[in-house]
Amino acid sequence: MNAAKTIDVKGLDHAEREGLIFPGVEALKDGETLRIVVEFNPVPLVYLLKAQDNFDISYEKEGPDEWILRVAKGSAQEDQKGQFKELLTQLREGEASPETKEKARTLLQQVDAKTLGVLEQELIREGVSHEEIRRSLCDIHLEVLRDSLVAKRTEVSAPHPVHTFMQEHEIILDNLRELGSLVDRLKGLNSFDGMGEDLEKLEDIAHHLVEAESHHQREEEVLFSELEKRDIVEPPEIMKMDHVEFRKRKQELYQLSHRPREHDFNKFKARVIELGEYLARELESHIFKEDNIIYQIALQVLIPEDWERIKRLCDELGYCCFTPEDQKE
Amino acid sequence: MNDIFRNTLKRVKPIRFREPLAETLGALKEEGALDYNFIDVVKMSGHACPTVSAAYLCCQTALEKLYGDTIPVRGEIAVTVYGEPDEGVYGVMAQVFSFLTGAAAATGFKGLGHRFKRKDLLRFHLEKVDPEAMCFEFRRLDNGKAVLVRFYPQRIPFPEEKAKQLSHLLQPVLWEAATEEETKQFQGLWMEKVEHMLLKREGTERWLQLEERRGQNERS
Ligand SMILES: [Fe+2]
Ligand SMILES: [Fe+2]
Repeated sequence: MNAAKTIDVKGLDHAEREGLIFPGVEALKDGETLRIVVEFNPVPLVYLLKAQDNFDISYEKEGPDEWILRVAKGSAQEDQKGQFKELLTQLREGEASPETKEKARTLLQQVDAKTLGVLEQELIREGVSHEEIRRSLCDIHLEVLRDSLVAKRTEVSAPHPVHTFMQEHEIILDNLRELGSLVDRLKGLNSFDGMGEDLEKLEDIAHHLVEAESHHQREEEVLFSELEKRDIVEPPEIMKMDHVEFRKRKQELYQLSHRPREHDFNKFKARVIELGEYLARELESHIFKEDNIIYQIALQVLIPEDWERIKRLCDELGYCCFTPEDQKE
Repeated sequence: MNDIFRNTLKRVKPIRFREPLAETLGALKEEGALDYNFIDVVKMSGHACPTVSAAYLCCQTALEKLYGDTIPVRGEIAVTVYGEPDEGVYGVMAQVFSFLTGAAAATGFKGLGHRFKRKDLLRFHLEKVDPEAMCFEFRRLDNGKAVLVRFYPQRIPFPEEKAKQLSHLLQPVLWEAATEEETKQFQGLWMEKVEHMLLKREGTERWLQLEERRGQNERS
């Protein structure tokens, strides 16, 4: 047996620990073993490593003041992760060719949501900015992963909080579709009078969008914070940045729709089209990521007691006016 | 001094206290009592709402019951909140009690020698006394007398039509989309409920109930 390399991260802070552990794990060659010495039980790390399939993880020592984790790299597993990252890098750099997409799709058939989250975190660690990830990686998720992600998705039933979130998403999506078609109709008009009932409809849609704020609030304050406690930080961070972007635009759309005639029609029209198209496109993609990645990670990582607490906290924060009644019970 | 608060809020009966700590350390130029006005509570809370108003009234009625014609003494009143600090509006109400009575949580004044300790006079208790009411106990430390206040928020009278209008106007106001007229209407309705609670005082007994409590260390 080869002598195992040892990394001792006792006394280091979170960033320093990660700075040592992840490169160390990364550098492992097939058949090699890494010993990681930590002063607490490194549960999140075990989750992250286990998600990558090709490591064999075991505890050499378990407390009380020192935990030693043995990470052995399997030899049989192909380097799924490496391939995957290479593909994502290619995809990020420009228009993906059909072959690249096809390759990604095949590879993804073997990857689950948690691994995907881990990969996202790694890209961020390697210096890809959140903004860049938001723009490219997530779009690629949507484009390439759609079918395979949906196929791998775990479904839960009421009154599970994830079920409620997903039901609310369905309703938000309906509303976004209405927004999309209203924007299309608006494109051909040249006066407020021409809008007819759409003027009122726009206000309803915008009102519905601001009502959805309670959904985002529950996500951030309850679900995401549970994930963050388990060291799953970056994916919720990206979702929260989305929420901020949506909030600004929802507010402007709501203000426009509530007092339309205070504006010049052409300016009004241009703004509504821009805001409406942005929200219809980006919020839809945001929802897809949540349903198929974030919520799926949460379902894998959180245990029934966690969900009971999450449900209670959600109840306390309250629901949207459109949340189905049976979900609130 | 600028004075921009609504006149109606200024008409709320103040709560008069003695403050031995100020007396001892010389903040007062002569002996006397201090008036804590509802406006002071609004300044502390940053707004006036039914919850803040209810907290003010809970405290005022409890102290009237405990002290009768005599003047309540700040720092000699212990308050127990039967709820968790971050549960619903318990924390918001507790802050008002703390501001008025001087009873403080763990962050309070530790005292000078054996006197003036304010720390831990305000406590949160997990167990509920009444499933329908928010409950608070006010206890005099000088004689052990205590009252339990039951506050039933859902029983505060407010016409359904107006409540509907209020909730209808809430989003436009919060998202800064409301017209000037809608904003005025919203504020009017909001203050109407507050003023009804604080000034009309009719039917208060329906949503705010007091009962004397036997204390462990009560002296008569
Ligand atoms: Fe979200
Ligand atoms: Fe969501």
